[in-house]
Amino acid sequence: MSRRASERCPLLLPDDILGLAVGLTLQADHLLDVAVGARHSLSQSGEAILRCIADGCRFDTLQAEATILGIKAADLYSLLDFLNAIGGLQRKRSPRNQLRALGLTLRTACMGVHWSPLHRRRIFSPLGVLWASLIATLPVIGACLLLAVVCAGANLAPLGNALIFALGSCIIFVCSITLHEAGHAIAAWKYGAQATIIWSLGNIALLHRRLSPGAESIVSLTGPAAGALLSLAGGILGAHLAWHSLACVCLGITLLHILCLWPGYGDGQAVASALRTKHKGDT
Amino acid sequence: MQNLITLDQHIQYGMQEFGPIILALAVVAIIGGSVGAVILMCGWHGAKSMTVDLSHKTLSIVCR
Repeated sequence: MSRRASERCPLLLPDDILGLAVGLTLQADHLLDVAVGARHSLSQSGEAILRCIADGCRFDTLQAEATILGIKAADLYSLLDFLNAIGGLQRKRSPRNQLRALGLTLRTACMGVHWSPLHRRRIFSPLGVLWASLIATLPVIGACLLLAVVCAGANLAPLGNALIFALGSCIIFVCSITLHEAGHAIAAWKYGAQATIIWSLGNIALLHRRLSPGAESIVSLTGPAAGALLSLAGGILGAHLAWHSLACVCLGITLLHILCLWPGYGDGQAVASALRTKHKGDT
Repeated sequence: MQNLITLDQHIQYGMQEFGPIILALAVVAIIGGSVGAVILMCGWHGAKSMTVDLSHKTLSIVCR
């Protein structure tokens, strides 16, 4: 069990109102995940806890309910962790508490406790993935625009030029991430798996039914290839039109997509894991 | 967690996550840091231009 699950639950505040995300249906003794077609069995206590979440209870009420049912905090947090990992946990929080949670998140991150933000979940659609990419990259877009305004204010560049450059870079970044995720989803769909987008500020992922190792590798590789090709095309066009700064930005974005193939995280990890499974199956 | 939920063994989750958004934010923060340094050196109204010459590996800051 992970340290965060056994010791604390930093991702929720006592008065957060919980809910189950789209695609998850609670039945008598099962939790159905329509997105991947999974049917998880529930114990009586598990069903009571999930019923409470589905009904939109507060986190402190859920903890009290778990205590009455004799459920250990570690077990409850593990269940919440699992729901969060598959983008199945929804949360409503007041703006004041949002600020409090940000402080808590920064403190816990500094203390080395792994934290996980809560995600939104939606069945894949072209517009949906564009919206998700926009929300996921909002911190980068905000930082770019702020930087452009600061540069203009300090006479480092004319405001118009700085804003056009920042906006152009952001549009290419968002489009390349949209194409990256769409690449994964289309490849998964080709293998008969429906994809679900999971996103939060600064993070975007695609969830689907686990495929065969070969198919999983291809699905993982298609995304970075699609994103990198788009930004590379933008870079070549920028260089051709003598927009050297924009060409450099495109090259940077291409590198980010290639970095996704690093075996320790994200797509690279998925490919490495699929290849390991395939190797085990062969031997 | 087994006391509460038993995961479906027939269907497992596959996930593709795009992580480098944080890296992109770090790149913007580094550029922002350089801009901040220029503003500190030249003053808010004093900074006129910042040029990066990759071939000579130099960064030129011209103050007013």
